[in-house]
Amino acid sequence: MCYYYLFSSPVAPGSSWLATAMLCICALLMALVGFMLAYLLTRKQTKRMEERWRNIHRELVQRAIFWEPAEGEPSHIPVHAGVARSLLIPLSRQVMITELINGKKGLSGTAATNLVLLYRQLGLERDSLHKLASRKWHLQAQGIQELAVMEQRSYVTRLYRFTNAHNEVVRREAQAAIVQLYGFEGLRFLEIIDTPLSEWQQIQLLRLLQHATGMPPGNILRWLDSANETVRIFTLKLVAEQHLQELAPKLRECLQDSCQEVRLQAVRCMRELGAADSCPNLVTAYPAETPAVQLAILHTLGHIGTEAEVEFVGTQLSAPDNRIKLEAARALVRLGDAGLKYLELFPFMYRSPWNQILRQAKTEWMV
Amino acid sequence: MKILVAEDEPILIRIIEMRLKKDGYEVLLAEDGQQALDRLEQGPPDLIITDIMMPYASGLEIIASVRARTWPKVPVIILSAMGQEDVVLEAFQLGADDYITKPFSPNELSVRVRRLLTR
Amino acid sequence: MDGMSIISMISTGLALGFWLYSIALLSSYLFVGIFAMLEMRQYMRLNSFTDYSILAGSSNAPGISILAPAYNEGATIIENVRSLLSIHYRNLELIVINDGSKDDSLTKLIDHYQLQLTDRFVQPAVPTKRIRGIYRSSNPVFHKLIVVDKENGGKADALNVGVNVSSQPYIVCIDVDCIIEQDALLKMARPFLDSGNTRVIASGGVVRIANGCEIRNGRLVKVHLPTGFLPRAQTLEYFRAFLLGRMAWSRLNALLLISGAFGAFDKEIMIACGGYDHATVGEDMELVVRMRRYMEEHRIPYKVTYIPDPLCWTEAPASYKILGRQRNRWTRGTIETLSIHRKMCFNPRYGRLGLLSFPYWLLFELLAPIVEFIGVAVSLVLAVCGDLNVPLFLALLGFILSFGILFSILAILMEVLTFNQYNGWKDILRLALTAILEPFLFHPFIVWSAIRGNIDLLRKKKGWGDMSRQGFTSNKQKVYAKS
Repeated sequence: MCYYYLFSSPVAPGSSWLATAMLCICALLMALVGFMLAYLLTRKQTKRMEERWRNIHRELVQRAIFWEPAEGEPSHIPVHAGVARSLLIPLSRQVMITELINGKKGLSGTAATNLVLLYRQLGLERDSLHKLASRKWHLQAQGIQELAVMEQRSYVTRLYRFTNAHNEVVRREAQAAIVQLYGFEGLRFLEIIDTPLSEWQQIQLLRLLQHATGMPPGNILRWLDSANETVRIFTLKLVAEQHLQELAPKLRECLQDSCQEVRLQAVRCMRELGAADSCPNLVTAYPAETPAVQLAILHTLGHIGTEAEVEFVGTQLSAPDNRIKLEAARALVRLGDAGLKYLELFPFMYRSPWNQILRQAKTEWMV
Repeated sequence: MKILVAEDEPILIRIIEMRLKKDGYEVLLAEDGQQALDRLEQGPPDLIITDIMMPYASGLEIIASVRARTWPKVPVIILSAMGQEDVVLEAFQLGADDYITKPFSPNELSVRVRRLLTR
Repeated sequence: MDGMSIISMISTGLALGFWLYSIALLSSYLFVGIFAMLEMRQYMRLNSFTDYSILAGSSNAPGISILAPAYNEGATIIENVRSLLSIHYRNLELIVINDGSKDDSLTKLIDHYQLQLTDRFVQPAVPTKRIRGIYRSSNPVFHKLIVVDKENGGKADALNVGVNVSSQPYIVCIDVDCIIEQDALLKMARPFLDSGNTRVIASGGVVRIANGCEIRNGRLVKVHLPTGFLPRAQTLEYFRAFLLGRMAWSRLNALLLISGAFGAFDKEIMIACGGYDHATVGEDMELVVRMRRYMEEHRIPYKVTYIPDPLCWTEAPASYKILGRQRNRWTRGTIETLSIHRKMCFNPRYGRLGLLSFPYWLLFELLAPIVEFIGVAVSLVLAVCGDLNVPLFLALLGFILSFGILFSILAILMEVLTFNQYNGWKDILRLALTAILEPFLFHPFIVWSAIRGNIDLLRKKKGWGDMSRQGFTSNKQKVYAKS
């Protein structure tokens, strides 16, 4: 609001022009306010409708969950005519899908099977497929999620095609969907992807695999040699989470990886697996490592190391970096009597900063 | 027998309610953590089933609140989507008696409730 | 050439300058409006099917330390800590830093959370005032809590202590009296995990106004529109700043400011550039600028992201006196930050930052109140002399006012279409009314406070020394609203 003093200036537009502009803006203003109010009103209406349908649909969903098929009859969950009629309306169908999905995510066993049955019986997979055909990425992603939660394996080829989608989010959801449907088998896409797996995606996949049954496929070894470093990182996380002991020897090779994050994960993974026979490799790798990996190695040695490593860990008490000193002290405390004895004999034990570091290490261990 | 169920997913809490009522229990519902804590003010239930991640107060807070009281031991079942080892261990450390990971089967829940109540 | 023509040339030049300035300012509003809408649509779509709870229990989620500096917060500290402890996140450490409070904050914490002095070696990565003691709870329920007692040194110093004590790779700084939603960290952590090859160094959050809201046990139970005009005008101002301004700038990856009340940072970068600067009153903005500068100078690809969900709620100043002091301080903070890093201005080496964000801040955030003030003053003088072209003046005033109101209405529209925290059309109409009244009742005061900030800084008013003792309860988040 600083412009209004240049009135007689030759470059200033005339007042009538400005007045017209002002009127236009005011009209736009009114239109926006009007639009907002109308929007609020229709939304309130929609919410009310949704609520009404939700109550009706919930009743059906609950009945479906406890439903038991009668002997010798085709499995068909009885649906009231009123509900069936309301399902002709798209909004009502979406409410039903959401209810089924929320239920399915939390339930297992016959309850879950029945929900899937109801989903098919009401033909709701058509809605999900319709979303897949949409050109909007968020609808595609939503459709993929719905089909995956509802275990619609028959559409796997369509879903699989999306693992190569142009849009990153769609691609990610499709990968997750395949894993959700096929567990470890679904990880096949790891062999072909050349785009990075984001950390978020790794967490999502690990979560989906938590309840997966069956053994991880043999090609897990190939993933560890993947050219895509995020695939190697993810595989190591998977090995740790699933406690795949038989891969412990392979981890030693990962200590030579060119990517720091991979080496870091490999060290963490050794700790999870308790791979005590890898300790000499860790000690050998240590001197050439970056500080981050060195810290991880000390941490891991504290967990899986033996008396043989006490001497090596002890030398790190004299490292210039205080973080290394602290991690070494922690490891020694964890290594039991031999480690504690080393600490007792350490010449600078009562000098700063060692005295504080050692006290912290000991208090932490006691907690 | 009164059972307090704390769960924020509306469809799940109803399912649990229906299943437990079928078994003849009286069911108290809390749709968020604060409601559950308020319910506890009114006296001890015979058993508590609680989610961990809920609005206003977590299931772990509910366990802590129950265990801080001088009531005779109230069994607590955790019903959570978090199945990681350390989460489960923490819950038991705080005093949970059983841990069920979602997705769960209502029938299994019913069996576990019965087992804890007849022990 | 006679005197008259020289004067006329100067006045034409000045006029041209002012018109160019105005046109640039108005087009920047247009750009902000459009970019904000595009970015918001993208974010809301992504949110519509993302299940954030998968992070909550994952042991692979990155570790986060919440830093909550507290100064004389005894009245509410127990509730605030309780509410912070119930945040949904697994790898979490809550560090409450008692900045030499003179009240009973520390004893209250010790009693209520069964704290015990503990041995902890603190790596002095950033130099700070002395730490008196570090406490942890003997009760496993509160194992995430760490309380640090330190000598008084002001907010920036308290946060630096927190950085030193923290053992996690990410830092979330908050004001202890803010109300943080339970899923806040799940959403704030997301950009750090989704970044690909560009490193996310910081992520900003929205600050919303809690005046008039229903709060129970340190949790926000029901959102209400504030009843007082002043907080309501600030609600609107925050909409403009957070839903439009920040959103648009984050689309360009050109954010310069993350609110001190709620922001997440990569600790490694934070330490590499030396932590918070306690010599400025605008430590939150200064840190972000310094971190960005560090990344630019080291040629590392990076991003500063922004999460528009309403995750942090705070009490806004309800009196003109406190509000004036707050805005005065923000102005000084901005000037200090921009002058510390003036090297970046119009410097192509700093890319978008140097060529776009920095000049924008200089021209339209810092200078706008001054230009506006001078404009009003000159118009008054002209009017007194009888030299004012009244119809043109009124038309221009009307144009600018209606444009400003339009921008406010657009901000309200963004809120309605996205998070819609308020209750129905009555509240929205009240907000719209506030938008109309605000340029007359609220805005002049904000401009005046900014001018006062400029004057105080020119006079080198020795106000900084007092800062630490005065505490930072009123040293809230920054919003640089546009109007």
